[in-house]
Amino acid sequence: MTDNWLETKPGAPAPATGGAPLLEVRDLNVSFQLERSTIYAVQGLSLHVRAGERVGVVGESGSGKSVSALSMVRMVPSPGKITGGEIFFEGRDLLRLPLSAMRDIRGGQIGMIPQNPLSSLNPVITIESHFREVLSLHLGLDKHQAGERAIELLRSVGIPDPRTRLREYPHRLSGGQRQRVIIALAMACQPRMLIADEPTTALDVTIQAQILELFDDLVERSNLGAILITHNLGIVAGHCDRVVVMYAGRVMETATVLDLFDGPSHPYTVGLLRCVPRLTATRSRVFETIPGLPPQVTQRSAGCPFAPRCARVSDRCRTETPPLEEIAPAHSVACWNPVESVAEMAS
Amino acid sequence: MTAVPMPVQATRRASSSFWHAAWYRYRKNRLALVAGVIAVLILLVGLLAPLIAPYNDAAIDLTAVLGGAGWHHLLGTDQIGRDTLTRAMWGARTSMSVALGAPLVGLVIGLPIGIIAGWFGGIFDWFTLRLFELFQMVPTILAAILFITVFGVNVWKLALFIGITLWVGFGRLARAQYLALRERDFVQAARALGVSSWRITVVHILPNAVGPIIVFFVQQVPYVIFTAAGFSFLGLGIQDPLADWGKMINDSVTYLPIDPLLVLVPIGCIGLACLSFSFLGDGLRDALDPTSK
Amino acid sequence: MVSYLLQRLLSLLFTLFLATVAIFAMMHSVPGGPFTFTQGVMSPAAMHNIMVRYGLAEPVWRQYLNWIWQLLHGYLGIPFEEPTMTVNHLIASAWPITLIVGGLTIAISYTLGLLLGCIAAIKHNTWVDSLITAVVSTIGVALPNYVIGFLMIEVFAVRLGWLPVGGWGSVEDVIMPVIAFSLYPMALMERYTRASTLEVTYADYVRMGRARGLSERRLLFKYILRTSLIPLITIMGPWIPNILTGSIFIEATFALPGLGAYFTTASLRRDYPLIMALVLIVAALWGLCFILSDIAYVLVDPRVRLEGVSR
Repeated sequence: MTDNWLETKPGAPAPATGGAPLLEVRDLNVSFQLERSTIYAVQGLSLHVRAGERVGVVGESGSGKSVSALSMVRMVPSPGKITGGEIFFEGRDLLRLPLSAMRDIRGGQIGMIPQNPLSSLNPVITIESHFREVLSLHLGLDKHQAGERAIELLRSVGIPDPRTRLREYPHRLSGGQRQRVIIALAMACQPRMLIADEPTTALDVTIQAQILELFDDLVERSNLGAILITHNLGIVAGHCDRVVVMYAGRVMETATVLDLFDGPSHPYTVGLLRCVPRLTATRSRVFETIPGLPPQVTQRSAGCPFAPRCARVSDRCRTETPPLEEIAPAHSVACWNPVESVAEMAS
Repeated sequence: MTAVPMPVQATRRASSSFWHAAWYRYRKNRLALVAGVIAVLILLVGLLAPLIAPYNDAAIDLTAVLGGAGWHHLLGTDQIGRDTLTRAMWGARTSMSVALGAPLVGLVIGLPIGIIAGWFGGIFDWFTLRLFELFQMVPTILAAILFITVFGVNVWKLALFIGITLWVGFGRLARAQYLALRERDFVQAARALGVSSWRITVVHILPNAVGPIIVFFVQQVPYVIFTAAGFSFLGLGIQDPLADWGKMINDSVTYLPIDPLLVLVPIGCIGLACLSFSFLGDGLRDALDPTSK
Repeated sequence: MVSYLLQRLLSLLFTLFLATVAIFAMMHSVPGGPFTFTQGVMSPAAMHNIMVRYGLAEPVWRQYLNWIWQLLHGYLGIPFEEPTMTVNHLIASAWPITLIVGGLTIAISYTLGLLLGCIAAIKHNTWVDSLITAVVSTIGVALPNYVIGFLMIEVFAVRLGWLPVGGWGSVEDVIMPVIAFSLYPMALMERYTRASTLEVTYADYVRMGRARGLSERRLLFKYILRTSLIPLITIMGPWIPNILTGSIFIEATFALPGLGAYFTTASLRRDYPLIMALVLIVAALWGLCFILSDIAYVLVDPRVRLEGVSR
């Protein structure tokens, strides 16, 4: 009974299912203007998220995945700037909206879950204050209503004794509890979409599992669209429906989770999967790596960014940028020599 | 089969040590760079004054009293015929000696006390904190004046007296640094490996605490210059025939209508020294602390 | 928390006591006394009479106890240099002047410093920031305040005649001393405020607040300033006693009949009662400021309130 607010609000537009996506990103470009160079953090990113769908964005550090997430709410830290592309949320191009409209969307329509719960809450105001701010801003609730709603929210994310917790200050809560509070805050105004940027990286493993379960639960019950940024393929396998693999600011491959893990096409994806240590591996194959380091992209050059490290590289790879092409339903790859079968790579 | 070795054009960044990185950051800061150069120049002038000053610092030329700027005396002369430029240079010598000597005294006294307080903790620490408070509570001017009237004053004594008033700052800083660094992971790791406390302090903690201590040191310099000049102002500072900027200002105030240069030169010297060390301190702080903006 | 403050109070009183003992001992152990250098040579008998008259013939520890006894009765003794007055009287006539100048200085330098520092931090990376930082840093730090005072007198009083040269009698007498005195604390305050506010501006919780759609205005007041001003308490506190007991140099430069001059003359002339009184005032002010800033910290920072201070 206390959870029914999680279901879609009455009178809200019918959730987009199967049809138009909730979020559609087209050809997003983000670059960082430094003193003497420019870093092209994201190049030509396109993806879409439907209601009820969890899209994982995977990549190494520096692949541009976090920057992409922040771009969705136009919070790329300076000196970064979104230099091109479109981001359609429920049909509106977020990049063309005035800042005041953007503020309505932030927190109201799109909720963000950041990476570091320990430092993401204002240390000098109470938990209740945090909720009150956001509930009165987006839903116009008064103090009393906000208080009650906050208690429901805290309960729904699994925080025991919510009434007492409300009056406390963030430093009294553990990391896991703070992350739950943050999730509750993100959900407070019944957003249509959640963006989680490595939400469990800073937590220990048992808590990780709980938080991710909570995440799945919320997505399902409220039919949210969700983007889950992570570098952990295990999390992707367990908690995502579709995956986008990024490297050097570009999309290398996108597919459903099943397709990606069963039949990865891009050599980079294959490499990533091979890097995951397996209990069943023989001694000689315990730790595999992809040789080399990911680049910091300071030039917009043609050619596949993975070429320097790719085992299947050809001359064409170095001179022409492979476009993202569909090779199977809902499975696209940006590669001139995609892998046909995994067996082929293992020799 | 393990990963295929392919020609790798990995980006190679020269692994820079903390000091290299700090130096690089410092270099990029134009203001700090200029300030640093000026500060060093002032120090050099002070150091080399006996060699490069046009006249002997006590040389009196009664025929050229209060002459303005001219070929023989580029910045003029004072009321008993001493060359202003010479006095300014020798003044750099005395002022810099005090300006660097006093913080040094403060450092030498404060650093060990701060570290020991942190190390032993408990009642020891409690007493040290009371000691800090005690010294802060007592008006240092009183104490310094008392000392001066009794023991007399020269460059080193002045540095000593002023230095004694600075030790609390160094002590608190050293203690805070020690306590903070002791909780850091790398120190915990060293302890877990059985490294002795002594070695941890000297090899691990001290080098990491050096940054803020250097910055603090440099930041004390303008304050010391002010205070030393202040003592001259009260007639308690450096005495003749030694040259000292503060004294120069004091002496020449009455001659302002006749020869403004006489007052403006030492004022300019003090201003230049204070500004350059101040910006140097800022630059060092920004360079040594990568998180500051 | 109350118990913590009580503890603090007690330990400060203890330190205060130690301070008085230390200064007393130092005064008496330093060679020479208040009458060694006055009025030529005196016969030993005359000298002895004077010593007895001023209570200086007794052993030092007894003198100290006498002083404490008198103190507890609110009596600070008779200054050697002005035997017709009491120390209480002397201080009562001189201190208010110092307090007025000091109080105004604190008010102006702290408010301006805070304001400018906040503005500079908020407008970080723009010309506003560069301008403020450059001007304030330079002005405040370049020259000692009395030199600036001297220059101000030259320009505004002597050359332009707008303001009085010195002395104390009318409202205008306050203007230049306060301005000269305020520059340095203002510059320092601006620096610290700017640094603290900048640090907070880029903090995670501020960005998360923004991600929840909070307005920049709300972020500024409730997120940024609310936290950045807390560490400044530890900075602001210690300067107050110094400012309130006056700058010897400023008062000398502007001929203000405040407390400052007595610091010098008392020490030079070994005016024991006066020295002790001055030490007491400064030390007590310090103690008060320590306690007040502790209280302020507790009131303002919830982390401290609940977990206790560990400074």
